[in-house]
Amino acid sequence: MHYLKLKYLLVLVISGFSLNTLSDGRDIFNEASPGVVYISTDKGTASGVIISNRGHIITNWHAINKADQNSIQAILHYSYNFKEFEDHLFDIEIIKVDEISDLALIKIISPPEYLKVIKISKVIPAIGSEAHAIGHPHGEVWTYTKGYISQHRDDYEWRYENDDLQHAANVYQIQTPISEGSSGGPLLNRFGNLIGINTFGSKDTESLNFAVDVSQLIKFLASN
Amino acid sequence: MTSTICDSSAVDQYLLELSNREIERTRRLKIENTRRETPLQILRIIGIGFAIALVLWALGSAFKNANSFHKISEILGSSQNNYQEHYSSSKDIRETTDQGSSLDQLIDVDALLDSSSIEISPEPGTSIFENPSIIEEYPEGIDEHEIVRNYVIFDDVEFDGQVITSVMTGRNYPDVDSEVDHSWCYVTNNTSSSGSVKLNLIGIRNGERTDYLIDEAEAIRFGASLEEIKSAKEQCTI
Repeated sequence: MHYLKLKYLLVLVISGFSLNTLSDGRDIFNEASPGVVYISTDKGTASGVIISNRGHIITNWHAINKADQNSIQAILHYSYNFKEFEDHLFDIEIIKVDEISDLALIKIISPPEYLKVIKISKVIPAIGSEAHAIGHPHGEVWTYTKGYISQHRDDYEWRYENDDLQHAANVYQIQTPISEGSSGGPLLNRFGNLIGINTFGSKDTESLNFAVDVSQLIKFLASN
Repeated sequence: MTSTICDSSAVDQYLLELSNREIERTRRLKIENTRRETPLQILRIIGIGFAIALVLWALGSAFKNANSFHKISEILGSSQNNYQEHYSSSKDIRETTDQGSSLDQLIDVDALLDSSSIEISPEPGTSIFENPSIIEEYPEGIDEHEIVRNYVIFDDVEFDGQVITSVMTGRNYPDVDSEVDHSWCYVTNNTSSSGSVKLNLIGIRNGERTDYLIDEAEAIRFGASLEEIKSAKEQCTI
């Protein structure tokens, strides 16, 4: 009898653990999505990541490089369904850019107090680790996707269609689905912390996407 | 001595018949019991199998998570010089170590921003990309030659086309004192349903000019007429 009770207790405990693991994606989205901003410019839209309470946002250089600075605005997640989004719309200033690694640091000019910051991990996940993304692919706001780190690619070079500029950076090759509009959005580890910036993907091949990695991001933030 | 022989075959037959009936009744009860208990037995086997699978899965996950991370070997200090010293080669920043902890390791972003950034606020209405002088405005004591690596100036020529509204020319300067090392001219179609579409017209790299082939197929892909694209190309300032 005691043996049976112990057995069922063990099953219940293990089931509890498994349910907790299954909810990881939901936890990560709920925790991190307020730290993802929708970037709107006169040339298009993109995603961005709030990295400080002072309103600093990391995004891609290509997301803002052609835009008039006056037209760049960040919409916080509180306008999730775009109702009353004007209340959460903020003007942006550009702090610094690195067109080679395709990164840009921008800042909300008058940041509100309720900013949700996504913390940056200094741990580079191994190949096969989970990689979660939140962004706005094709204007589908605050979209969550999940995949895996497929490979690390150091000093990886790429070029955008019809663009003469050669980009190069340390990147993750990821299987996490991203698309146009996801650019500048966060790649998150299983703790919901930032490990990369979703940057580009192959149009011809499925699940062949790339994110600038955290080592490149730290170099960029530390540079003048 | 008289012996009497009784014929008990009828009794034997009766007992045999009773025995057969009991055997048949027992067999029927066994079948009924088996039929009744089979689902419970199956559930029991599935339950035990599921529990074993869960245990194996939990152990496997624990083992996998314990070994799933590489760790950057150096702790990031607040000094940028230290950072550059330690992180000069990207290959040096990774080290395979076991990550038994269930906690992540985080960077002090505020310290990093404070130690490194010179927050440049361009004048309203200008773009940092379009005005290199903004990049050169650094606080005293900082040598701009050590900071500015390269920059791009864009010329924007208005164009009155059905699709094309401006012709952009970009010029890349490797550093503040150098001449243009490459330049390019392109147009953008912002009316496309699939987002912004860009078309390169001319590229000049190391003095070598490339006029990109623009044919009817390219024009269709871009979403404008060939005539409009050719007219726009004449507005390139390189």
